[in-house]
Amino acid sequence: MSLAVCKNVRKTYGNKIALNDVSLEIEGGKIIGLLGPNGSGKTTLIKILSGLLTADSGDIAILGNPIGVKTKKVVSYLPERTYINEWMKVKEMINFFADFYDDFDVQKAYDMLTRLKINPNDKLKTMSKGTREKVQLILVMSRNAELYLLDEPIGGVDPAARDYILETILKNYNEKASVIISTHLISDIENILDDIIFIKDGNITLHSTVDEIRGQHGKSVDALFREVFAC
Amino acid sequence: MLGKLLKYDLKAEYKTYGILYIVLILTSFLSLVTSKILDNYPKNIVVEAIQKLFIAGVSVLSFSIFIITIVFSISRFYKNLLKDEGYLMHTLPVSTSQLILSKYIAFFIWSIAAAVVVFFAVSISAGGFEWINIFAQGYRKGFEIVNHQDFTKFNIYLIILIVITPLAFMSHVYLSFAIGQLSNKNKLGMSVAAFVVIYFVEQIVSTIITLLLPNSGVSFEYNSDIGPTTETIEAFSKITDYMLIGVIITALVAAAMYIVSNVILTKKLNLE
Repeated sequence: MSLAVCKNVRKTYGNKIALNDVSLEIEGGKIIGLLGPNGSGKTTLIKILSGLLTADSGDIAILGNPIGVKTKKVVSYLPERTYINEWMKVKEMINFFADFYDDFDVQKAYDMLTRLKINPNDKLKTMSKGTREKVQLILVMSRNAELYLLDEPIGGVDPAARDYILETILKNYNEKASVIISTHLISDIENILDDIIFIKDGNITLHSTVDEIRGQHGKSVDALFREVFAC
Repeated sequence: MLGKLLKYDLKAEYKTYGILYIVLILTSFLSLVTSKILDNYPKNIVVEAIQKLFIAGVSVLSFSIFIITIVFSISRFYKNLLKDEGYLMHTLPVSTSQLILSKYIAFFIWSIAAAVVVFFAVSISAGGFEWINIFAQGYRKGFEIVNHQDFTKFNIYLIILIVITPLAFMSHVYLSFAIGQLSNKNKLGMSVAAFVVIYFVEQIVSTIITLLLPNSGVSFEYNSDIGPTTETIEAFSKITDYMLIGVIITALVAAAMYIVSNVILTKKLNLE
């Protein structure tokens, strides 16, 4: 069974088509780059998979279940914005995740905090935006989920932290799980990707493995992206 | 899961409410102290002015605490479910109905807490609980014109209405937000517009129901020598029945609004 399936998914915002009859199958055990320019539909697709938006039409299933409580149990979502409760301390946020997610690994979260020198007793409100984003990533990657949806996980952090974040992603997802990473910073993540999905104006224009791209097109994903999405 | 949601909803605001409650209780103590001083120096204008100031403070704070509870609860619903925090809350493995119910229960708990604190603040300010007897006697005297059976029913319905009316108001607000979030451009503006439209619909429906009720106009006559007239007893009995209708309609409308909010936020969540 595919991990996630989208069939003819359509989403509009007023007159603007965000997703145009998108059909997609995601297999387990892969790191997938969801790549496209700003406004191409990346975030909309991820939000629909995570249950924050409802599609106008089409079918979506994760492990055979329609989006709902069951799918939220197995999906770990990192939004492109700060969504954590700022009135809490880091350790309280860890307790919050542990309370709601059966697959949350508290020890793993504390280990990552130590590695990044983040004090669990610090209040989230007093942290910089970059540190809050790191905390969010730690929370999301400390789950043993089936599908990780990471929306622009490296957009707001410095290059040194970027390397750590990518390493964190690589180390912390189980072999059966898949990770979908939405970004336009392709060169930074190209080395860790198994598959790529190009999305443009709400249409999936390419769904392929990175090896196929290098073999068939003779160029890197970043180079192909620049060619396909040239202004 | 509802219990866990409620735990965090209460934790999010207990400090703010705690400070408010402490300020109110302190003000009522100061009001009591100045009253005692005034007893010893009855002609001291300065002490009298300060005492009046504290009594006014207790009154204003007691009233404000309920308004603040409503405002904070509305703000909590909006920020926690429909702004950035909503990205976390709506991806938790809980149903939308649990997310909304937790907000209702938290509001109810804070309202009860506010009522208890105000009760003690007034008692402290009044120097004891004697005011309850005075209030009860006055209240009962006001209802001497009616028979005992209707008076009891009236009070039961009144208490139920006092409890469910704020919850019905919150249902109205939550439904307005649920409708407002459907907009892709101005969610808050759309929420306000939805609130106004729902308000007018409610007013029109309640006016129609009132007009449909037989003999809506009632009048009271009371002569202290002969007691209430038969017409007055009947009129009060009718009002009591209307209150029951009010209770039922308020509860049904609130429940319907909760159900519609739940359906919209489940099927048409639009966290752009």
